[in-house]
Amino acid sequence: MSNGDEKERIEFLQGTLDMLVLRTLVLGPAHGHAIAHAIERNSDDVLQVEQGSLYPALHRLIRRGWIRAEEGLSENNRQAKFYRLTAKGKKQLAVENSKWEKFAGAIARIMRPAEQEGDL
Amino acid sequence: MNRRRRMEQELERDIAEHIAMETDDNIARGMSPVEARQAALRKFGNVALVKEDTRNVWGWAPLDTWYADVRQAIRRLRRSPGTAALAVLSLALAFAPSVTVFSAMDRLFLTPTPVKAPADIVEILFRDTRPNARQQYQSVSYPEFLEFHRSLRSFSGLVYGSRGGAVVALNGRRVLAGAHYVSEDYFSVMGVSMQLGPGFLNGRPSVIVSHSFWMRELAGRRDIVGQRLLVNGQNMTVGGVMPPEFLGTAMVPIPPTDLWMPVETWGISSTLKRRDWREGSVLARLRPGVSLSQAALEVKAYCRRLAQDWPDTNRYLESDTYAPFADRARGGITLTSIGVLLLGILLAVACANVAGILLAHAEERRHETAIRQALGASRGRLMREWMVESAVLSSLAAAFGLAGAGMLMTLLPGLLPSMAIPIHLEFSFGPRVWLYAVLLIFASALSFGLVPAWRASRPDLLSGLRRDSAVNILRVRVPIRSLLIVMQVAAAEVLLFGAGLTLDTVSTVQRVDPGFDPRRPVALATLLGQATTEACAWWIVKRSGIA
Repeated sequence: MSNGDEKERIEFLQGTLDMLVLRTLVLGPAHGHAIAHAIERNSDDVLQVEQGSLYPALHRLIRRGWIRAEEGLSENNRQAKFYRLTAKGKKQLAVENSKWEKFAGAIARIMRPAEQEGDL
Repeated sequence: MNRRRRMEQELERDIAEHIAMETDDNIARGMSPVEARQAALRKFGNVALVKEDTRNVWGWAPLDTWYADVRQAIRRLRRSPGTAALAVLSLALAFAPSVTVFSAMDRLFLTPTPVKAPADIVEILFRDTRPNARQQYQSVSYPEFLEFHRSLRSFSGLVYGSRGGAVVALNGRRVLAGAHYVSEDYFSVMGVSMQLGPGFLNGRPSVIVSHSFWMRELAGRRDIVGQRLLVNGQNMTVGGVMPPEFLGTAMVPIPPTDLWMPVETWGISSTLKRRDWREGSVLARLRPGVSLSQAALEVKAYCRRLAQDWPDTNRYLESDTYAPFADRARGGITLTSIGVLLLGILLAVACANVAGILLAHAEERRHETAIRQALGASRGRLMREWMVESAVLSSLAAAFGLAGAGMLMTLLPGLLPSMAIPIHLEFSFGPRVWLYAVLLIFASALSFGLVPAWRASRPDLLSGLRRDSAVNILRVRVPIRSLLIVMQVAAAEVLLFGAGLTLDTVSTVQRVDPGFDPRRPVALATLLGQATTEACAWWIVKRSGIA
């Protein structure tokens, strides 16, 4: 999966990885590898997770009580940790969601005139 | 720590699993296994860094910073060994005697008595009701004790005891011992059992020795039980050895009781039969269900009868009853508190000294501190470093102090002036002593570390960054350091006066004229009949050069 298209990669903004993890887990519990893949796939491979950085994020979310870790078996029958969204995590996702929408909207409003100027 | 190891292992496993899954995926995409693994590792990123970041999330990092602080403190102390050695030495010099004295006080005053249900023990004595009585409190005479024993119903047991000196002959050597002549059932009423031996031998002249005497004079020999001991010129069979915790039943265990002998077999001398020879004490155990106040009423009524029956000796005497062990525990705590306070003054002198040294040291390090502040070190962080350094200093001092205390404990008994009443110092190493040592470390680290730490971490970049800030040094240093010196001198003065007065008292007591010529051992014969008070007995034997 070596993606030569380096220009397409986007660095994560602070805190967005947490939000994406929460969003991914809405679909059901998953292990770390599956979460990383889901984020990449669902962003059409635009967002490249440096997979290792997922782990500090997961442990941070556990500490805040937004997700829970449980033991389980992976698809190829190996012992692995599965992460599950908690009720508190679901609420947090809603908060993050609205925050993100405000943020993205604001950025978009600022950026749009520039594009138009460029078009002129 | 176990939890941490488990989490560490789990994280390790999860990461390995993650990389294995990615490798599998890559192989499925057609890579060779080696290629697949390398690609997976590349995609995962720096494993060590991931672990580090995750650990930081767990929140154990502060522990590591503390560890780093301690190491840095040790490094810095090593860089100025003179200062460190001086500080450690002055503290150790205060720690060693403090721990030694506390240990002796712990042994004497705080060790709980092994007496069974000590709250049920009552002492009975008389109070002189005359307003200008020569002696307000009076003990009970032996005949009165016998009457109490026969008549009082509130008690399940009553014992008589009279203190005196005794001379024990050991292999041609004569040893002075503190003796307690007691009723034969003394130990059973007190509920204390022997560490060794059966106890008093019924009807035969026997002696019970204290643990301390046994170790000191009888070499701790187990076969001593059943053997003869020449006490006051009489052959006595050793009936037992007491456990080390039993220091007798006196209010203050000084002088210590070394021997217990049954007053009955010792021979009831004509003196003992006198109703006005009040040199004993009566201890009684409350019958179950009887309260101290009920018992007191009975004793009071009985003594009123005694006053009518024996007007010559008892007319003005009224009974007084109290629970000696409760008083003893309270008294022990009071005495120890006074001792700890005095030791605190000694410690304060040492701490003021060290604080002065550290303040000077802080001035030397102003430059370094200023640079660190310029680089963004917070005041709290700098103060913490100073406090850690203080804690390291006082821990080091405690180590030396404890070693010194150990030496003092072996040396001190030999250094005591030869006194009429020999005091055999004993020390305890129980949890209270350790607790005291730990408290010393913290109290001293706080008291000598806080001021320099506050001073040193003061944000004063401008003058601190200049190398030549001599003017500043003077301005900063004078008030606090002179205050420290004033405190130190004042405290030292108090201690010196106290010590001087104590020495003076001791030497005055030594010079007291007993009213006869103590160099002639003529008096000994009457003494051995146990006819005089303990102080005289000890005094004469000692002065006559027999011992």
